[in-house]
Amino acid sequence: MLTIIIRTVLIYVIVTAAIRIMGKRQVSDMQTSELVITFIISQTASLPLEDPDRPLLNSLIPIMMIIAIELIISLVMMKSRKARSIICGHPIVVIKDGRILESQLRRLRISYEDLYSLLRAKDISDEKGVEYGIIEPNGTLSVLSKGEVSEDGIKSRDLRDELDSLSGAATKEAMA
Amino acid sequence: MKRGWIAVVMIALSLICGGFEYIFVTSNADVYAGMLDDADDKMEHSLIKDAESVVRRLDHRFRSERGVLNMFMNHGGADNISSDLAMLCRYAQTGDTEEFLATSARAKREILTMRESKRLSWGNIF
Repeated sequence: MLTIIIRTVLIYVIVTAAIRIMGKRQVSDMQTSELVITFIISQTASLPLEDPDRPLLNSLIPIMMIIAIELIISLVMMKSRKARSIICGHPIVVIKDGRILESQLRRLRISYEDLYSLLRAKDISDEKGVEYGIIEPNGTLSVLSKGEVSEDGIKSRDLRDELDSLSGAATKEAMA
Repeated sequence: MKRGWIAVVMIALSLICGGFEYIFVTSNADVYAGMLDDADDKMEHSLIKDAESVVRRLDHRFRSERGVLNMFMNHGGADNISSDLAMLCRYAQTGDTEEFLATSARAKREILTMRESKRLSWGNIF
């Protein structure tokens, strides 16, 4: 029992240090890969607590490797838009000029009701006042109301690319 | 960039630990298996005292390295090998050749399994 107590303290300290090094925020702010890694670390960390026969290094080394891989991938994503797009995805515009883009909702497998629920959480009752409604890579909805978008337009390249690719789709939806 | 260096250090530490584990476990497993073969040979040739001496040296060596081995292998596995070595000492003392050889075969199998589990092979990876 004493060994389990000491292991628990060690693992707690190491996992906390690991999360600090990775710079985690709240779960709702995490990218998909970050959430997956957090789950894997927690699962791996619990193994030597469940089985005292298992060496502690069998969990600590995988945790270190996971943190190292996560740090390297986050550096790569910082330098490469393509890598970021592949690993985390990119923002998806679901509302444009007050119109809900049904094709985008189908792409994300989100229903109208899900979208209205997200809008209500932002105190928005009607999509007509929304210039851009964007589902971010972490699954949250960002809303740019009419008049909020500056004259310079959207500065995010990911979002500009998405809007450019939508131009054709939005025209077809408007005609439909 | 600081985090990049942290990542590099972590990978280096992991590789050093992995390399040390591989070298330590496999080289010692080879020594243990070799000593068991030697003891078996002496027992088969009725050199009971010599066999007992070899087994006692092996038992002493295993017990002294057990702390490090426990860091790299399942403690139950190390306990089994330790128990077998203790029994071998007893069988050598009483001159019970059949039990000695049977227990020695079991201990050798456990030691070779311990070594094989550390090898970098497709079987171990998957």
